Amino acid sequence: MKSPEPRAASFMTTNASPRVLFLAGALLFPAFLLQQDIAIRALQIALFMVLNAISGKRIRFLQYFIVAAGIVVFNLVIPTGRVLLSVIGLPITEGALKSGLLKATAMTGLIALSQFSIRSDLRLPGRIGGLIGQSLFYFEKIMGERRRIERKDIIGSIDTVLLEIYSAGIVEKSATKTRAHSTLPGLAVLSSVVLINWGAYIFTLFQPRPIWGG
Amino acid sequence: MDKVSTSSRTSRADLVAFMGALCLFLSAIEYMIPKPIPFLRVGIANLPILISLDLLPVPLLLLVVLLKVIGQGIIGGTLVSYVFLFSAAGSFASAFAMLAFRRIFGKRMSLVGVGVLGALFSNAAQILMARWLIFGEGAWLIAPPFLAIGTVTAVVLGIFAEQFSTRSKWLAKVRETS
Repeated sequence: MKSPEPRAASFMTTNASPRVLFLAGALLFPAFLLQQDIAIRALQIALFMVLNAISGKRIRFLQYFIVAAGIVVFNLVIPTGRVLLSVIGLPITEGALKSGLLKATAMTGLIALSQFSIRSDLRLPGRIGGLIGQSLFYFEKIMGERRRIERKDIIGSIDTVLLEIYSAGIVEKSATKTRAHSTLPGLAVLSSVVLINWGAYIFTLFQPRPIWGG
Repeated sequence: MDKVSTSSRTSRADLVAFMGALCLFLSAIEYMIPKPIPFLRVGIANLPILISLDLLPVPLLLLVVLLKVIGQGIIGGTLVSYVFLFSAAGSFASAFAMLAFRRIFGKRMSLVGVGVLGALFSNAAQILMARWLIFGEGAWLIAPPFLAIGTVTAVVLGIFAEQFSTRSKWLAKVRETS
């Protein structure tokens, strides 16, 4: 079993700090959700996937597709608006299709956006932020010992690992702090992405498209 | 006196962080399990919440739930997505339900029963969110299999939690020190 968070160096991991990525994600979040033009949303999702790729994350196209298809199909169950076509006797209506596509793109886009903007080395400020950091510290320790967990004695082996880490953890935890910094190229890429997304939203405010816009 | 209470607070905070980490570890395992809907979860990350019911006071237990939800968002990269809302709604609904039933029935209700009720409340909250945010009326179609899967996994988890809490040396140490 592997950690979902990649450890390999990539453009984003070496050029953007977790906090800057988080800030970029927070700025992109409304620009993406406010966008009602499905074609532009699809382009935004493609852009987020590129950002995932340069963050060293594996893009799970099949997972995205299954999620999107599931949402669209569930929305088609309730017909609204004019009938576009019939599939095995079931009417595909414009309103239901549009609603399904908007929700499907919102869901997949936010997952893609979230995956590149949230990193496991993100340290949030405050008491809760400190607790999250402490939890992530313990999490890394448990993940490091995961190979010692045996299927034959799952309770016993998990218990041994937890006992060892819990007993040793308090002493060790202050020694392992690393800080990632942002560089000019990293900031330039993220600023451009934020500006492009907000620019696209402002563009569609003035140029709404008749079929899929508004 | 001050020293004792500070040390006790530190160890409680440490236990909260540790339980949060355990939730994250189990979430990472769960993350590997393929699922058709992103918020559909087997629920193994609820195990630490279940075993914390008798260990932590209510505010700290809710803090573990918060750590679980935020941590899952960070590990799975879903912190700024709808998945986070589903996760938060399900986790808090389940935690409040489990707390209430544990407080009312005490040890007369096993962790299996408490876990099943928690899973039902969690799934109900998530179905309502799905109805509201994503699927519309189509959400009622996923309700029966969703609730059935949740109940079955909750029974298995509850049995595991009962076994673990009676056999675990780590939990025995935690009980001693907290």
